[in-house]
Amino acid sequence: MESAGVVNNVDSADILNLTSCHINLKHKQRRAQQSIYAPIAAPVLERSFMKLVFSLLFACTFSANLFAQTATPAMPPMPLDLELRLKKLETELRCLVCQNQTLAESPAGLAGDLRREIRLLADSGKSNEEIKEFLRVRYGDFVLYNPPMSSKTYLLWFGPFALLAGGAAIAFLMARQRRLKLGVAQPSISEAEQKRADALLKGDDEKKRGDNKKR
Amino acid sequence: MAGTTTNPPANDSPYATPTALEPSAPKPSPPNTLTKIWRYFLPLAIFAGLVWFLYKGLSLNPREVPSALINKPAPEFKLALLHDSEKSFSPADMKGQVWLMNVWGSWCVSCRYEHPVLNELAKQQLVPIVGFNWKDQPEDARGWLKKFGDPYAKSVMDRDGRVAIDFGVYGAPETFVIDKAGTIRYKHTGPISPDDMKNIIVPLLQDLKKT
Repeated sequence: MESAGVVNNVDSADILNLTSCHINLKHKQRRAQQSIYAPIAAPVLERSFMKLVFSLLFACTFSANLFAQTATPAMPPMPLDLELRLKKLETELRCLVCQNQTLAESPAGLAGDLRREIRLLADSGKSNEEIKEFLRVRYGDFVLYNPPMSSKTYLLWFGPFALLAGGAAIAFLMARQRRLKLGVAQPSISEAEQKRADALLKGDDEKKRGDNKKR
Repeated sequence: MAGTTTNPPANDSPYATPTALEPSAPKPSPPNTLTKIWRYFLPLAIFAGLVWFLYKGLSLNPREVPSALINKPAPEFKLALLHDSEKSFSPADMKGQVWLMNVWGSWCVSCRYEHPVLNELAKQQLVPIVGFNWKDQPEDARGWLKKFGDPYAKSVMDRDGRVAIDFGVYGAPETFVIDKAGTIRYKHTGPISPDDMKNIIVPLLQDLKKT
C-alpha cells in the first residue's frame, strides 16, 4: 500500500475519530502528484500553503479549468461557465467530513466524491436547486450552509431581530421612566426655594466674574 | 413647569436625581422590594440562560449529524459481492428480515476498534449483518476480514462510493438498522462500543424482530 505508514500514523493519533480530514493525506498526495503544479505542490502538502497557491492562481489567472483538474482528476475538463457555476454552488454546501469547510475547498475523499456527483448531476441537466435537494435528502439540512426557513429554524432566523426589538423596548422604557422622574422632581422645589437657588447661582456668577477681574 | 404632583414618586433607583434641596423635604418612599429583586435577578437569569445554552452547545457532538434517512425506505442498489464478484446483492433480498448494514473499509482504523463487537453480535446470530465495503481495494478488504474475522452474512463492494452517497454516508464506520419492511430505523455513526451494542442496538433489533 502506498504511503501506508503516513496514514497509520495519522490514524493512531485519533483512533476513535471518524475519517478525519487529515487521514486523506493519501488522496491529497495523489492529487498533488496529478496536479500540473506538482513541482510546487508535491513537496509542500501544508494545506494553508496549498490553499494560498490555489486561491492566488484562481484569483489572478481565472483559468479555472486547471484548478478543476486537480479536484476531480477523473472527469473531462468542463466549460468555464459550468465550472464557475458549480464552484459557487459548492461554496454553499458543507463538507460533512471537515465540517467547517465547504465542498469546494475540502480535501476529504468524500468531498471529492460529492463534487463528482454534483458534476454528473449538472451534466445531466439538473438545476442548482435540484442538486441541493439531492444532497439535502441524503445528508439533511446540515449540508446546506444557508439554513432553510422552517419551524425548526425560526429561532435562528428571527432570534437576533427579537433580541434587538427587546433591547430597544427596554431602552425606550428606561429612558421614559427616567424622563418622567426628572419631570416630576423639578416642581417639588417651592417658589421660595427656586428664588434662593437663583440668587445663590447668580451670586456665585458675580463672584466668579469679580475673581476674573482681579486677575 | 406647572407642578401638579406634590408627592415625590416612588424612588427606587440608586441613580435617581435628588428630589429635594433641603433636608426637611419629604423623604423618598422605601424602594419596592419586588422591583429590587427583579432588577438584580433578571441579569442573573439571562446569564444563567446563556451559560446553559453554551454548556449544551459544548456537550453536543458535531460529528453526529442526524440522518435524513431515518424512517425512510433504504435506497435500492445492486452491488457485487466482495467474495464473489459474479454475484450481486440488493436490499430487496433482505425483505422480511431485520438486518444491519455496516459501512467499513480496511483503511479505517475505527472499524478495527469496532470489529470485535460485530463479531460478537454475529456469534449470537440475532440478525444478519451485511458488510458494506466502502471505497476499498477488494484484496485489502478480503485480507482484513481474514485477519480480524468475518462477521458478515454478505459483503458488498462500493468501490467508487456512489451508493454510499445515497445512504448519506460521510464516514466509516456507520451502521444502519433496517426493519422487515426495508425501512431504515436507526443509524449509528462511528464505532459501536460494547455498551452501544448492549443498550441500544440489541434491544432495538429484538423489538423489530417481534413486530
